[in-house]
Amino acid sequence: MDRANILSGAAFRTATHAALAVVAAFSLTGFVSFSYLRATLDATLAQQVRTDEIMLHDIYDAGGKTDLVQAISEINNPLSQTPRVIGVFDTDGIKLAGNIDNLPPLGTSRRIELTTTDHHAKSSSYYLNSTRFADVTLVLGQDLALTDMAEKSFLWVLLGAGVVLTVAILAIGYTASRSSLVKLTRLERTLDLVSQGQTDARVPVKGMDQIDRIADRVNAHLERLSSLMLSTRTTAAAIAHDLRTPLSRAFLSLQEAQSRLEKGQDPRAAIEAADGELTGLGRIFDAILRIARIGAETGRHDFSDVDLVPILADLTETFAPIAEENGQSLTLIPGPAAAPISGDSRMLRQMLVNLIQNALTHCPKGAAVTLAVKAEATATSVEVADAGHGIPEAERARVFDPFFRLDRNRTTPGSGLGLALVKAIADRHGATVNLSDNQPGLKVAIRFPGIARFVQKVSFASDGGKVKGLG
Amino acid sequence: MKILLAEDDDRVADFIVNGLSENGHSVERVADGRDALSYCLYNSADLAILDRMMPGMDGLSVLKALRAATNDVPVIFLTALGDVDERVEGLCAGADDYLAKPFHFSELQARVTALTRRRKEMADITVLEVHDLRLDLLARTATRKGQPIDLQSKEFALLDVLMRNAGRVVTRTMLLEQVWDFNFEPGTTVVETHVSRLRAKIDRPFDVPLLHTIRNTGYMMHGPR
Repeated sequence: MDRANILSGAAFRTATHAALAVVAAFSLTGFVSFSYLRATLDATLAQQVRTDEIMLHDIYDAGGKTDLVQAISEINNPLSQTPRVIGVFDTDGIKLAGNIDNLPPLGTSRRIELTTTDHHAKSSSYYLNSTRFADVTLVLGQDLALTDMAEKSFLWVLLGAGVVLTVAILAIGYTASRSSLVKLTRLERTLDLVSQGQTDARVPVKGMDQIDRIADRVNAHLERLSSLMLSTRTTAAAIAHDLRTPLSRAFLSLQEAQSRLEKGQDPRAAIEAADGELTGLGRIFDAILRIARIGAETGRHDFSDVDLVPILADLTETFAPIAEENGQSLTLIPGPAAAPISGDSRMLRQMLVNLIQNALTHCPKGAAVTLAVKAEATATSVEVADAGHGIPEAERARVFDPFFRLDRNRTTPGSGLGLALVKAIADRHGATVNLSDNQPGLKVAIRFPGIARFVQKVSFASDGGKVKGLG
Repeated sequence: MKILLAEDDDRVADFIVNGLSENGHSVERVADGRDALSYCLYNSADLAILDRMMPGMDGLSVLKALRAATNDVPVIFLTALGDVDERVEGLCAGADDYLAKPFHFSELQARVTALTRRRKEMADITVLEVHDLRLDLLARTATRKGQPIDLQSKEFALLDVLMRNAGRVVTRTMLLEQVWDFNFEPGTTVVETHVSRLRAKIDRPFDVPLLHTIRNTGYMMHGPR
């Protein structure tokens, strides 16, 4: 793992900033609390010194210099618990009693290093205060060792906590940055693999953080892309295959026409045959382009409110005579008075024509084809049901693939694009296409999402109203 | 009749120019959209055939510019196969008709003929008559020799289009567009079946046939000649 990469990661940089902030905050709060602590401790010492001084002052007031010297000699006995400085000097600075030999030079600072001369004989830092009485100077002091130690401990604790916290923050940042980098590297590697043609490569996803979510999305996109690539490849192969047949037939017919001309025969039949093949080829292209175009379009800017009931009635009137000629029947089952959806009426017409067409083409003589429309509050659906041979369940998903045909010998008319176009148009309208067994036959149900604002307007005609089947 | 053809492909253009010239039209061909626009603005063509894709300026822009300049020359718009939206777009922009490539020349010829006469005749017609067949567009009734003929709505619409174009060829595609509003090939004998049913009602019981099939092209209504 490249350390420079980890250290430049967003998580580590954030951690560095956080650590700097912590250090700054610690320094500031440390300085403030230290000053406060020292002031408090000093005040305590000053208070003790002051108490002693008042007591000694009382003694001096009562008995003068002699009593004071006497009292100090007593206080300064070997049993005294607290190590303190006490001394009394005459006006010339000569020691009269106490445990210091010289009058300490008292300037502004009250902290002075000195060595006591009693049994403690301790060299330490003392907090001193001197008071001048009429003919003596009294010096009192308290040992600062304890407070110094408290202050030092405080500083050490502060420093330790600061260091530990900073290191911890940096460590967390480093770990987070490293784990992000690992994930990003995986993402990068997967995308590289895919771009090199390994379309089934996917990003391993373990956690559920932001990067994992992106990885999930990347995987979903890759999934969609590779399925598109696959279907493009198969479609391209199918196009090539299905276009070659009419193309070669057209060639042959034209050659035949030419040879008939050379022989002085009538070439018109052969030319018409070629024309028919090329027209068929044109239709296949037309269907492919329509599917591609519908598939590529998004949004509903060109959609309007379309009522399916009149369209179905119209198509029933158009196709019922054709069904009749085939010895079949086409009926529109009476339903609601209106079935409004939001869509493109030309596309919807084509979709319904393809479904009807499909049913009529694949049903034997005598079969009945029925159309039904249902308008519910949440959805509007159209059903085209026939009593033909149906589609085996295993094949149902594939019939929407371009060029897929149940009839492998391709003897029945059709390009295998009709249902692909139906699917493309349904997808464009956000509709689902469901194939089911009509026992016998096939039932195709297209279910459109409902338009909320239409719901109150739709009146359900219980008797089927004006819509009548024409089969 | 003077026709402007704006088409950049030479072979397609030659084919159309030859065909239209043989039918007695004088054709001016340009290969660039800008030339098409300036020709229409400074010369008076009776009809313009505009290709969708052209160098310089595409057909749709030419059409929009023409209409913006209140030039109302009839326009037939040629579009590439499968571009359903472009056809609709062309009509919205003010084209009088559209035709998807590739097409049979007879298809173009039928539309040219239909378009050059359509304008004069279409307004305010309420009754159509061919020989002894009469179609009342307001009452929505058909009579022949005074006998009422019962027509379903599609048959009525079919007869309407055929009779409006009496004496002229109406192609299958034109019928699909105008009667059924299909801008696609339905793949079955929709037109043939309905024409044959219509014929059974308006022609078969009578002595003179009025609805004629034009081989490989379409249909024509005309009385005895």
